[in-house]
Amino acid sequence: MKNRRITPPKLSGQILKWFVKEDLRDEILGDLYEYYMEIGHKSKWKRTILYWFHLLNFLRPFAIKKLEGTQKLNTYGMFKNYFKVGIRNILKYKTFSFINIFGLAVAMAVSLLIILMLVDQHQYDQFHTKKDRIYRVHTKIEGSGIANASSPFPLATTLKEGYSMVENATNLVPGIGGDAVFTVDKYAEVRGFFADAAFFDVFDFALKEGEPNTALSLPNSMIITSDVAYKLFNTQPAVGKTVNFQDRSLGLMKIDIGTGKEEIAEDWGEFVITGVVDLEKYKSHIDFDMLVSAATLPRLYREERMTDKSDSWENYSLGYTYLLLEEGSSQEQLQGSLNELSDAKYSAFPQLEGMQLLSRNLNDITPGQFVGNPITLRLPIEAYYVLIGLALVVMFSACLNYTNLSIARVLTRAKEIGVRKVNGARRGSLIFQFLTESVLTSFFSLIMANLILLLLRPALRSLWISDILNFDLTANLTVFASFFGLAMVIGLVAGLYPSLVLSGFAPLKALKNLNAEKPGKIGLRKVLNVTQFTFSLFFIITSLLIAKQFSHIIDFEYGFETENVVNIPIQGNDYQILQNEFASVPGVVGTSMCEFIPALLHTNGASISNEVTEENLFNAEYISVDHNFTENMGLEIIAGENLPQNQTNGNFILINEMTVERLGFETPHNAIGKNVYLGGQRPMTVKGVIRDIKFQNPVMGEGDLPLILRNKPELFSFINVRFDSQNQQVMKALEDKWEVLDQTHPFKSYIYDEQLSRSTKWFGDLVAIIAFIASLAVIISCLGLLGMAIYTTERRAKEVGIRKVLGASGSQLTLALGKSFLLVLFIAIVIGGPLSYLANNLWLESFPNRVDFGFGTVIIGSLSLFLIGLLTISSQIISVSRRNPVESLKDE
Amino acid sequence: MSKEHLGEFEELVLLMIVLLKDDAYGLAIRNALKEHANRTVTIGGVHGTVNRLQGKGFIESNLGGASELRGGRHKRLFTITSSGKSMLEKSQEMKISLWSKIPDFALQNTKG
Repeated sequence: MKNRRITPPKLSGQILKWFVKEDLRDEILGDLYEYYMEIGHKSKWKRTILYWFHLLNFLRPFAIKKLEGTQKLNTYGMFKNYFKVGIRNILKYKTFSFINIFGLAVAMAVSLLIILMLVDQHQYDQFHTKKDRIYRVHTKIEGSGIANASSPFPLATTLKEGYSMVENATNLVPGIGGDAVFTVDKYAEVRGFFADAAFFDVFDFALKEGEPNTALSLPNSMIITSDVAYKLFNTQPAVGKTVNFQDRSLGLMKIDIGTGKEEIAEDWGEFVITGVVDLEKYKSHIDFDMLVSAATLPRLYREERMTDKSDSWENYSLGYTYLLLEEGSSQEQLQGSLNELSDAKYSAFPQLEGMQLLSRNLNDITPGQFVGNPITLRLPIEAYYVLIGLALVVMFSACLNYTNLSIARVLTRAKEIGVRKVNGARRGSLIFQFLTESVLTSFFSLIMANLILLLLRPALRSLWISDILNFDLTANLTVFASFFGLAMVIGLVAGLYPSLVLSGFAPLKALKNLNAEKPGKIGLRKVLNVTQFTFSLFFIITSLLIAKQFSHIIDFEYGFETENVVNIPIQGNDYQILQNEFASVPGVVGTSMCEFIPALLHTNGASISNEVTEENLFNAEYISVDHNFTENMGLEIIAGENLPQNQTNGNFILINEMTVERLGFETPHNAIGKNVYLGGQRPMTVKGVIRDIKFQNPVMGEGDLPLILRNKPELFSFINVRFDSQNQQVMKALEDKWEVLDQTHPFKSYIYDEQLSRSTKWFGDLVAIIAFIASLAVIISCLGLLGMAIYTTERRAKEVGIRKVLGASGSQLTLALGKSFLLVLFIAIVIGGPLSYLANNLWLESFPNRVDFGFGTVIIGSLSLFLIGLLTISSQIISVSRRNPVESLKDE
Repeated sequence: MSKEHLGEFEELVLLMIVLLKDDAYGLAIRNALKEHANRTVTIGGVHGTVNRLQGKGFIESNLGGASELRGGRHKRLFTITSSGKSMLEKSQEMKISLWSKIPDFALQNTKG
């Protein structure tokens, strides 16, 4: 017979003892015991679970031991004391605390912003379940520093078929973008890729509608995003519907500054919608409005809408290859195979020798190292290193303030430290106490930093670049954890040095020499101050320089008339009709046609020579314009005559002075009527020579380029309308005219000057960011200086009083007090000035179209720093030196 | 007006203590709640509530006998105090007077 006694787990008693109040323990244990007996009929594991459930349910305020007062928890009491003393100290020295907290908060806000950005970027592509096995193949040509994100077309198939370690591979081919038209008024602008059926095997995009296995297998099928589906079909099911696709060769990136070339829409035929993906749900570096089945490509090759490059290994910018590695295979093994493959394939192409195929894991794409030809524009990891570097400098400066002010207050705290030591405090506890204080300060800063962040975030969003970079700066758990960690680390870093110094005082000395003037650390404090100001000066000079460069770009003289010109894409309409109609609009001064808009981001090169040759060629900008262009845009013809009105008999061109020189003609007049050869083959007759203009965007280069103008009406895609700026109605009238002539395409127009300024806008953003960080650095250094000024002048109040009584004048006193601060500023300028000159010259060298960076900028920067510093300390010093000596001397 | 308020669950526990007379302790109250009021709570929940009731002065307690069934530990036996009793009565009176003020038809037309 078995009568095993059942007893509750022994551990329970121990645990209850640990957390429950002593006087309640007995009854609680009793009740639990009885309960355990009561449920004795249940199975053992059920009993155990129920028992523990009830036990842990006693973790309630009424039952838990109060921590206070029990002897075992003495450290808790000490900690509470440190906390209290810390708070009191912060409240007692309000000015210093404010300087510390504000400085740290400002620096922290910048760091927090960068954390937000990084956390956002790290969330990219995390939804793919096989993400650790997905790799993108990059190509890198010999001698190039940067790899390309794109790779040859046949790579995916070759890898999939020839290498067992590659489980699957998919190819994304860009080059399709235009309008998907459902009905006349239901259409959407879509950009995207050709993708094969392996796409949904490699990636984990789920289809909201449609079947992923078959959606991309048939020709002329298309997957669209929910947004597009809503635009086309509203809430009706999209799968099975047919749309007509008009290709306009739109690029992948949605940057519309109205530049480049307007392509004529081509009808690519009917496409069946086979799937809808809700792309909003996914954070991926692959961004698209539609995916067209790769099976459609052969038809497009046949119709000569695209060139068949599916077997071309030498063209490495046509597509993106993503592969899924077998489980258990490593990136090294993959790299080995890729090396083998590139050696085998590229030995046949002498010009591509040394071409490398590289692999990059999906996790390292966003954020990742800079690559050429990216799918979506993102800040490369290098940019974050720079930002982190800047934030660290600002942070460091703020920490220096803390260190500096804490050490300066040594004398005030010496008494307290002495008493604590005499009463038996160990050094460790004192260090802990000071660290508590600094961490507390840091957490106050964190609160303030969050408030600053609320202001910073919209400011960042309003920058032009954020539209493209598409940051999602919302906080989540990781963000909060990193904020907390950051505050902790900053508190410890800022407090480390002061705590070591302060806790190291010998107690007797600290109590005895209460009025020792020099704590012996003045040298170090000065060094810290100098460091701060050197950084500040560097930032000031850098931002001055960038601002100067920016204004140089803004005020760039193009050499032709860009004001009061509006550029209108003709969108495939007959240019002559448009020109005639627009010319009749009241307020229009002149019209001209061109292939693309000069000095924006689009360029078109042609090689040219003065003989039939294959070698002596040089590159010139080549643009088609009509004969009105020179007059309308204010180009000056210095020799010969304008382009003929129509180009029926002969190939005539206009060239500029630079081309004349490069072609080897003595004077512009010598060039007139001569033949030059496009591509070294096609003869062209020089009709006239125009004065040099800046044909290039100032961000891209100096602007001076050899130039060829030719009248080739079939290439015209923009009409430049010069208007009378007094006439307010012109725009409206032009639009009305357009609507009569073209009912299908909406009217588009771009003011030329606005286009030009927008093309350089990102540079303005850069100026704003650097100037912002520079001002932060200056503010923080000045706060530090102010703190020091307040402290030293207060300590020297008696000295000042005595000097005054003995007959010193106000100005003498000001000088005496300010001398040491001026010295700090002076040393900072002596070190920082040349340093920033050298450092800034480094990056400026590589910048096209640069301003002269003379010592002028350094001097202006140094002077402004000096003045700001002077202003900061002067109020304090002057008020002390003006004070009535009786006030400072009466109480002793 | 009494300054202490009696919550709904507190009132139930108080009633159970009265009901159980001389054997009102934590686990017994829990079982009574389950049996008479169809309320399942944890033992800790009951302990918490009686602790609060004692704090409000509605019940008092003394340590009771230990038995082998409880692993040789005491139980805390609760009895209602006079203020607890008057609180219960007041609560009942209030509800009755409220009910008497509600006209019959007011409940007839409610949905469900």
